[in-house]
Amino acid sequence: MTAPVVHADHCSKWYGSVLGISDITWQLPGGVIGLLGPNGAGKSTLMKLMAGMLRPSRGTIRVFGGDPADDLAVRRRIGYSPEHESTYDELTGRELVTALAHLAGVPRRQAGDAAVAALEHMGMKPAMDRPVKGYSKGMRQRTKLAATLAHDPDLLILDEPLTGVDPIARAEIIDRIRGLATTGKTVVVSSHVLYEIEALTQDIAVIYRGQVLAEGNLYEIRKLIDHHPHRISVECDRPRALAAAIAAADHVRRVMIDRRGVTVETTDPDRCYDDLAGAVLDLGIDATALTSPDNNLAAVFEYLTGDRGQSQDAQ
Amino acid sequence: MTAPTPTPAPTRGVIHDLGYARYAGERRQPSTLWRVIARNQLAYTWKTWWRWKPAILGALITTVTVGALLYFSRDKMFDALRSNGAAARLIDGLIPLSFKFFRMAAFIVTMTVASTSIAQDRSTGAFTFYFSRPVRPIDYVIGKLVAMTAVMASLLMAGPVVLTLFRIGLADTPTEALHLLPLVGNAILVGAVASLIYAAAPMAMSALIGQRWPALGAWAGYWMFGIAMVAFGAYAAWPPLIVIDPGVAIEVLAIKLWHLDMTGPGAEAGLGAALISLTLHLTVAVGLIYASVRRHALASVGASS
Repeated sequence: MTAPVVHADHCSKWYGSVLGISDITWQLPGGVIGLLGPNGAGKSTLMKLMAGMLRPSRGTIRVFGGDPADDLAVRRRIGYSPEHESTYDELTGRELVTALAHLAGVPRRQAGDAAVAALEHMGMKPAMDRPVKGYSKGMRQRTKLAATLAHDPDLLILDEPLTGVDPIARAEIIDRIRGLATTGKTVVVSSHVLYEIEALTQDIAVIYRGQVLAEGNLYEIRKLIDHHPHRISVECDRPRALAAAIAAADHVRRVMIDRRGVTVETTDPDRCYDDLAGAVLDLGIDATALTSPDNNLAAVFEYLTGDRGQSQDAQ
Repeated sequence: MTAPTPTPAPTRGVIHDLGYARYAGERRQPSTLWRVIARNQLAYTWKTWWRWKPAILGALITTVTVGALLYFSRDKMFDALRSNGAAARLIDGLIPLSFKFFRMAAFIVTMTVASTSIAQDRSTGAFTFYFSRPVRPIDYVIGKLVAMTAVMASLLMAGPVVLTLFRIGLADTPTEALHLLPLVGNAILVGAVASLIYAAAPMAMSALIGQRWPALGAWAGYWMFGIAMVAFGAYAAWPPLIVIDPGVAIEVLAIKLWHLDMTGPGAEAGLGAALISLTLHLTVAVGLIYASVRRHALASVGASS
């Protein structure tokens, strides 16, 4: 069994009183993996820990078996592309990528060739002798990716590489990132848009509030979420009648009744919502509120299903 | 050359192998990466017309002007003065006193590059580009310091060394030339110390403050504070106070090394006070740069997610 490329062991990071990630134990065996999560979830913090840009406040993170913050040999095998794009804008794309390749340990003569190869791979060769300050957002992203790639790292950490990029550039970048996987590299890509991740890989880790909430195959995770017991509460005037109407359904695991209403634990939230609505209408129950106490799960669930529609609409 | 074949329209799920070739060559030792940083900093400083080049022009004008004065000070025009001993003081004093003007050229570069260099890297996120690669904070600090010292040396050391060699060339006899030879060492020493100070002090402001314009303002403020200390030291008749200004401390060092018999607060401040001031400036500045860079290299708050 080969060692994982990344292994986080009870890893936490906080900035003063602000929690970045919390007690993450996670392994990345290789391939292309998407880190999915809303803004503020902790994706960038996890990526910076992998890149050796941050040290964990507690726990450990190992990359290729070493500590990325201290082991320069490990860091040489990492290519990190931050989300922000501020660089030395007066330099041309070629000069910038050459300088960064050189900085990553490629000797000066070879750094120029490596930079041109990486820029060409990212489709930037025609514009590589123009100053970066004249580049569009997509060109900057591609130049940044070329800089990440030029020293031939084994692990590529790409933080929101598609943010703000126009659809054509996005398609090209996605193509090229996927192409990198064929060269045997491990690629970690973050995004808060499911559609982007879905276009790159089916292997995802969902980060939420600093924790890995789900990991594995995207479709398997969807199934798991669908079959995970999910609680739905209905505030109504006749809880017992509603409970009796819903309890016989095969997706219902448990029904709890209290003074204010009914809480149903279900393995199929979509059907449960339909059945509850039907029962309320059939029995003429006065329902005043419908909520899900499983906030975390609901957020992920909504994210994986609802947000997809939104992001596709935005394309 | 083969005829182009029609490329099928890309479909979802197709991976395009664009022929990326792995880099399989040798790698630099991480311990040599400071040279890469220094070289990049020099290239970046040279790239625009306004960062370094006006200062070089200023230093060049100073060198030519002082050189001309050196040349004409041995002309007949100065015979009358020389007979009183004044010309001898002039020709010997021109080079150490010229540091005052070379300092002005150096000040331009402290404002255009040195006081903003690290601040800019910090505020624009360039630290990420450095420290996500196998670069240690010490490599970064050494690289930046070496580059900036080299830039300053082009302004504070090159001119005085050229002038000293010119002065030796103007010697009337080989014995006099031989006697003047140690002055080359003096010019190199004072130029090197001045270059280090004018590289490190503004860079310390830059590292400490971390924002370009405030860092620039802080350095300008510190420069003004030095000038104020010179005025106050003269007013309070306490010469050691004026060497708080590193520029004056450098001039004092030059005056003492050239054994100039001068009066005034600068000459009276004493070599000891000047050396203490220069050592403190250098130690504190380098310490601050390293501590600040080390702290921010591995504390990159600003996660985007």
